[in-house]
Amino acid sequence: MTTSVNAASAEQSLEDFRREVRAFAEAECPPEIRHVVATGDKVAKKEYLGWQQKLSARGWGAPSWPVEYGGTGWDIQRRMIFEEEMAAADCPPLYHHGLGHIGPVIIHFGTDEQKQYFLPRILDGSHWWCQGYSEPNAGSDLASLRTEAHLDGDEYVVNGQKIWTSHAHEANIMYTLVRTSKEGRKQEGITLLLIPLDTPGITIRPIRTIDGWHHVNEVFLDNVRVPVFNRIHEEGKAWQCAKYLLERERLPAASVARLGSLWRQVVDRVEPILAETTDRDLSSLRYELLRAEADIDGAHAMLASATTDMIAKRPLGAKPSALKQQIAEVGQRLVSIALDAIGPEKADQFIPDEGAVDPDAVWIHNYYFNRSKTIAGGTSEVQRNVIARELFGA
Amino acid sequence: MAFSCQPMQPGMLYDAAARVAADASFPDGHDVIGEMGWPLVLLPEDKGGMGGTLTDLTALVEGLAAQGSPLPVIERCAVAPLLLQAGGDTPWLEGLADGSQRIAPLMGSRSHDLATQALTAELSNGDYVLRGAVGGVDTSGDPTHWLAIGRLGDELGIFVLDASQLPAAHSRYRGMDGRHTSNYQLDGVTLSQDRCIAKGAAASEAITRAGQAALAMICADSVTVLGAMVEHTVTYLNGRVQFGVALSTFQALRHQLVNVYMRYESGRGMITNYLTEAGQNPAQDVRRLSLAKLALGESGRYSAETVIQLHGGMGMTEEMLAARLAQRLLANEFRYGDRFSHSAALPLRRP
Repeated sequence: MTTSVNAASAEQSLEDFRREVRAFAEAECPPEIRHVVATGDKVAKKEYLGWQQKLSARGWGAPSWPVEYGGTGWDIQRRMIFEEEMAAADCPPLYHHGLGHIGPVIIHFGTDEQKQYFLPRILDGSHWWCQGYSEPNAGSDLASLRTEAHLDGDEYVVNGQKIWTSHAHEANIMYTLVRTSKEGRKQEGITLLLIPLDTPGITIRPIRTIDGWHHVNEVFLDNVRVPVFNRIHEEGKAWQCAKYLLERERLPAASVARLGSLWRQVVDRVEPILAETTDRDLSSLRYELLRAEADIDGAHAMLASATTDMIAKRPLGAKPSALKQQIAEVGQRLVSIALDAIGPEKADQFIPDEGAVDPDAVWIHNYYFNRSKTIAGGTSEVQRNVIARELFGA
Repeated sequence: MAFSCQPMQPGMLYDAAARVAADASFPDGHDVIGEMGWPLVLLPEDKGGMGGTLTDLTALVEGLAAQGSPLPVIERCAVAPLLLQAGGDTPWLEGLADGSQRIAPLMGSRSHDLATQALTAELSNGDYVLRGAVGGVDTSGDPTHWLAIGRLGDELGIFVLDASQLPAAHSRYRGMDGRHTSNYQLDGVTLSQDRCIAKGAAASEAITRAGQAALAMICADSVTVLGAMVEHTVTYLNGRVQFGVALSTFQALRHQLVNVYMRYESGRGMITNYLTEAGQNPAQDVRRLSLAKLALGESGRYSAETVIQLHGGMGMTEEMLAARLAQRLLANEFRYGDRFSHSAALPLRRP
């Protein structure tokens, strides 16, 4: 199936490829799923999975994977076009935990048996993943994690707590960093285990976040037994997996594409408000929207520049961190513009105690949610430290 | 290794411009631009030029801007040649090509819409008579001829004046970046008909093209200055010791410079992309360039203020190149359209 798809795409011009992806997205992505994306509402497992199954059936379930594992084998230009067209058509993003994170790690570090078992389940969505990395005292400083595991026969016994675990309430399996040794540097002695969430001893508790959406959870692990088969790479060597993932994920092409969609959604909502006669002077919002569009152009250009560097095998330096920051901060500004536009009346109507949901409440959800964009995955301050090391040479 | 700003368009033109900018031995009034042959960059080869593109001119702009050179390369090498070409084979185009004439635009750089500085042109007894005011004209390099835009009823024309026909400046100022410009009042300058080298659609197209080229080049200038400022500030903070440690060890200072660097990368990407893709979609080109100028205006203000602050008291001195670059960046914000004029001209949605 995938071989024929890729044989065809190798001969196809990029413009033809773009047209094919666009036609598929518009024809095959269900309207109810696109509506959720287009309105800026929360995308949950139902939407992700619904679209993933369509893509998987088309042979496009894993655009960044090699063909032999069910991927498309596309080059980076085609992957970027794919992301752009998915975003333009308001299709849900690919579910990153499986396809973008643990899948590539299994491909790189896993055994043949592990690949045969786990990869098809990522592609068809039957394994729905979450990431067990952060702990109460190990967020940006991940190597300080303390959840412990020790070998007992052919099983690891895991005890500890994970926090900020996105999608754990929807997931059925968690890729988890655990400490198997306290010897040496703190980056050593960390092991990667794949833990089914129906294993006895696991408790998942929601964390109520200010955005009013349910994303993140605490996950408690109490004498959880995990077969050795579910360990990826050697015991104590998981830091290599984490670094591999970071290197691989350095250029957030999908996030840049999504930024353009967010701009469009905000303009769709703000433009009619600007046309209304009100007692509020909102004229500055028009300027702010143009300013944000300029910065989105900048993000596209930075991505293109970094991609060129990557293809030419030149060092990327601080560019990926600068790009991540730019995306996060422009996103925050956009939802802040939307919040300003909807104004005081809507600010009172965030979540109904009685009555219908106000459609504009989605902008309040988004405003709050986007605060996390400069916190999750390395705070702005950590990113700035990384960039500063490059700039100052130390 | 600490950050070192690399040009967007490296090569011989960049190197030549950088050498000229570094050589402060040129006496006042010396026409460096003409002697280097730079007005020929955008002239087609069959007109005696180099047949270059805006990408080539960017190399010159970068080489000069990185060291704060005030040479009016945009006016002399982009605006003037592009306006002049609207007239086809004229003696002035030949003069530009053989280096015998120094031709500059009789207009300032306050708007990228060069037509906003059009004089009034009237036909009287078979001659054209130009009247009106032009401001912010860069007179360096002792031009032999001036190119003016005149409004002939509903259409525009491009006119050539001998230097001797230009009245004395009624006022002259030093701008916020140290450039000296002059303001003129023309109260009836008479020109023979052959001095109108183009009018109607040909003139309007050339005026638009020259304005867009100037806008692209001022953006390239700003990007270059941003990068140079980052480099100089890194050097300063790494070398300056306070409380027994280098200033660059303070996180607050490091993060402030990171904010400037991010603006540099974004602006650089926008201009690089523009130069690479210009011509594929003219309507989008205009929008992208205006958006870039808008962004660079705001980024420039923020970055200039930050760099002055990061240099402490030294940032307030003209002695520091970084401070002079900051002045240039601030002034660039107002050249060829400030962010508010570009914002006003842009529809909210892409065409």
